Amino acid sequence: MRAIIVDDEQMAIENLRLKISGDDRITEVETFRSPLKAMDYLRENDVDIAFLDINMPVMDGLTMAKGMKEIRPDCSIVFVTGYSEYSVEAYRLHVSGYLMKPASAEDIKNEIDFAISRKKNPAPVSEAPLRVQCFGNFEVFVSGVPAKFKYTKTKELFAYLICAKGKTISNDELCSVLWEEEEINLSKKSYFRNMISDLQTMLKDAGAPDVLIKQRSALSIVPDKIECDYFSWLQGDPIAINAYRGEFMIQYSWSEFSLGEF
Amino acid sequence: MNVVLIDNNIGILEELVGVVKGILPSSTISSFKDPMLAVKHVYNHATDIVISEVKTRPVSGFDVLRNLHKLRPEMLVVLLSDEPGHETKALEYGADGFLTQPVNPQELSELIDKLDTYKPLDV
Repeated sequence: MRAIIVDDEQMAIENLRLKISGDDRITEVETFRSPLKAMDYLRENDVDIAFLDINMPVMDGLTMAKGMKEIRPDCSIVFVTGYSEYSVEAYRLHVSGYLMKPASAEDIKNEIDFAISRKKNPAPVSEAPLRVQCFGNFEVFVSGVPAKFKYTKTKELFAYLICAKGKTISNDELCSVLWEEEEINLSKKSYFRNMISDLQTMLKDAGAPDVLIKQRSALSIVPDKIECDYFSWLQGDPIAINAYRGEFMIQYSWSEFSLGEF
Repeated sequence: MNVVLIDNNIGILEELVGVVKGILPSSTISSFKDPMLAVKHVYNHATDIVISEVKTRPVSGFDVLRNLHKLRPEMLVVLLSDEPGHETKALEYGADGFLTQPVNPQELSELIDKLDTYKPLDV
């Protein structure tokens, strides 16, 4: 694995270089005090893992990471920082991880482990009959192919039910989420009924008709019958835990708010 | 001592950092707005105690507690909420402590002492 270190402090670079070089899997380590020079290097050279300081003059680590995503999207990025406050922003950028200075040899080993496993297992495309992805954009796959919905809002309806983790949600609540401030008139109610049919059709085609439970004026999904990264996470699956990058159902603003489950 | 703090609200999170720094001045504090990132951190880094608000998205403090108990059973988890009613559920799920928000530093300090992880040798 080829590594680079970018930090404006020479001592921090040396400290990290010593520990990184100690790992047998690392074949090369290039170091840079200037992020701009590091970017020039990256344009010409492929690198597997990059350890970036966040707090640097001229170009900070976050900006550099954004730039790196364009030219070397497969390179794992690990922030090494003295400030824990940056952890929030760092993860929103799809970085592999972040470490607090001084990073221990064990921390570094974990990051290298993870970078390698990412390379070996690039997001496996599951052929499962029905697979739901909540990390990043909300997506539904039927036998590995994006599910077909007649209405865009049907997908959002399904997302909301998934987010509810199997809890029963009233049609009224679902309508108010799907149409936010708008009045729920008869035509919307009729549209809503069509959406339920649309969802039922999709599930039936996926061979999973019993995923959706339809009551008189409420709906719920059965989590056990769905392969889903979010549900795997809730069950403590380490792969799901490490796969999460700080983005959840990006398309839907309601995913930021409580579903009143507390 | 490694401490992880979780709250969706950055203002409250920063206040909590301040309170914990006051009680455990030599601890390493990692604060997270996103509970799932916090759990990922705990999974990959040695952590002694997690202090989390209950009402968080995309997963609740209860979800974090259950998840951590599975992954890291020795982890101490303290839940916070402005609803005292959450205490029963918290203890049912195995929380090591529950405090009502806003957190009283004295109460948190006593709780940590009780959990016996605070080594008074730290100066």
